[in-house]
Amino acid sequence: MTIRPALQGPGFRQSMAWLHTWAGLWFSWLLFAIFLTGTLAVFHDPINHWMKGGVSTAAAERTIDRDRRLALGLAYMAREHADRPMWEIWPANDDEGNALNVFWKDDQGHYTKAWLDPSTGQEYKPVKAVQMRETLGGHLFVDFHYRLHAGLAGLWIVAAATVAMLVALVSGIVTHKRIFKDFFTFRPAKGQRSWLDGHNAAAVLSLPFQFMIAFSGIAISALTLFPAPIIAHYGPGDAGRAAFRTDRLPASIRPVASGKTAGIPDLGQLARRAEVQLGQPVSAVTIDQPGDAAMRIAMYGAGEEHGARPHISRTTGMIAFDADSSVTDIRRPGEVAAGAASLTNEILSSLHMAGFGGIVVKWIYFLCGLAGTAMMGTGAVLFMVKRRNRHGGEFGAATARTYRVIEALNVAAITGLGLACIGYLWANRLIPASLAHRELWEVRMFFAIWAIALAHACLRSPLRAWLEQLAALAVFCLVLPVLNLATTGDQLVSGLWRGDAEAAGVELASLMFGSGALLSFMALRHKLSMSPSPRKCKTASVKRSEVSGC
Amino acid sequence: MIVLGRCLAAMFGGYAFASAAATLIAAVLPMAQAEAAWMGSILAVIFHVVAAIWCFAIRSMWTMLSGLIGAIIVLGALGLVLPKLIA
Repeated sequence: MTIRPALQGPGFRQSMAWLHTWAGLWFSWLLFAIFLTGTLAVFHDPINHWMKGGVSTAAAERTIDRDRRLALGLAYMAREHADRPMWEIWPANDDEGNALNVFWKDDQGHYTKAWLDPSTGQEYKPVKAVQMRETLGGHLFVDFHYRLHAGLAGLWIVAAATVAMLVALVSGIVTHKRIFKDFFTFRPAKGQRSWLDGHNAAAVLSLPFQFMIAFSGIAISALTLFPAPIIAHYGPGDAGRAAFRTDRLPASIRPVASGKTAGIPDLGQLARRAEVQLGQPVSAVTIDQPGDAAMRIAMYGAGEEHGARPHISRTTGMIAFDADSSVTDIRRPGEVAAGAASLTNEILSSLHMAGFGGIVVKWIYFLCGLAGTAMMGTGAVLFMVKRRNRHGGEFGAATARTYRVIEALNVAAITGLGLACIGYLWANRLIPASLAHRELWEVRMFFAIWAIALAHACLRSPLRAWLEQLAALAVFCLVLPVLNLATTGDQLVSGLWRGDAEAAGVELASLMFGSGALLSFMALRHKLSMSPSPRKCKTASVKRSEVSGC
Repeated sequence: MIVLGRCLAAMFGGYAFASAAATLIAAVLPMAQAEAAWMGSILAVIFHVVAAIWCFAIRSMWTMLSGLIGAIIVLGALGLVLPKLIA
């Protein structure tokens, strides 16, 4: 690589421009994928809902006799698991269709769960609803965007890319001479300039969001990614981590058995007292050292969807009682059990996951996420557009070949990933609901389509590859509602009619992405017919800078 | 070769610098020890980014490397020794 002279240029700004170009280029493909899937992950619940076939996951509202359920849960634990030091009862677990669930820790310390019949208290094995499709749903996007669907190794790769993104953001700002003026500058249909303006506009308009989302993304995995302070103060490995965890929380939440027995107070009555004090419905009860005079009964409030809260921190309220039913500890909604770092972590994770502010904030995140995606996409395209007009010669004799590879990777990373995402939704409808492990086949289709798109981008000339993949993307996105109608009989209009905004929203978003792809396709083809020279033709459509997120 | 060296310095040197800085923060923040340690981890990435930019901004390779390694040693040593002095 002969990029050294540029690096050794005269000033700080030059070295930062060099850094922005190269850190940006090598990580833009990965970051584009992280940003697009992360943006889709904002709406993982509606995507889940759509992929499960539009079946409503919430059980029909029933009258729930909570006092009786608490008593049945308590009786079951006393009968079957009396020797466990911690009992946990969820009288109406809304993750499980308001089932009565109990939890304890087994001999290996793993959380174990049982379903109880709310009228008899007998344990039963839940059967899955027949109509549900087995699917990872929107969770694939969540999992991919923070660890590439590859576990811990993926988490480290994403973290490295995020640091590179922060470096590219800082060096990008330094490089940028007229950050305020460019805010208002947009020169459409001017080839390279348009791509630069689009790149700047997407970046500058959403800059605070990009910093926030990158920093909070790293910070919520900080204990895994930067364990040095924990190791320094508590020792290495699992032992050090365990010592850290024990030290972090106040000792009062881990009562030591006194050896004296005591009766467990009426949980229904305690739950009513807790609700008055917390202003939240009680969703769970834990009892440490049950039946001992030192026992601690904690009542936990339900989350935000059960009542608006003005806090960014998503923690629910908690009240602890002792064996005499007196309050020993209270935590208001939004507060945390421990100190400043715990609260910082809680707020950063809520900030990262749009865990506050409801649907409006989710849409703001979606749009800012698309802006970030567009920033990566336009940046990657800009690199090549610049060099298609004026050869940079950065790679010596291999320059032409390297450019060819970069072009192919651009296509595969941008339209190819778009195809993989929409193909995942298609696979959801086309893979038979009865197929064993069908959810794995959906994920395999996602990666297979992406691989095919990469192969296609390598085999075709760059321009052909762009055109063909944009066309395919437009078709798959625009036809998705028809596919749904053909396979499930459900359709967009009836979804809107019955007020199912989640299912209809997925299809409307698909139509929006499809239209964007179609417009880009037409603009690119128009430009191609205007100028026969293949060197200039792709510098056209600035529209794609807005929709490169699809 | 030089570019590769700077990349490696930014990656691994930057990580070491961030870890050293986080350890020092954990030692000096006036909080419960577990909270201070966690806060150090949360803030660490900022130091990694600053160090990575340093690795590419300083023209002399020698100045860049000696500054980075020196900072890692000083911050790391302070972070490890200070808690023992205080205790």
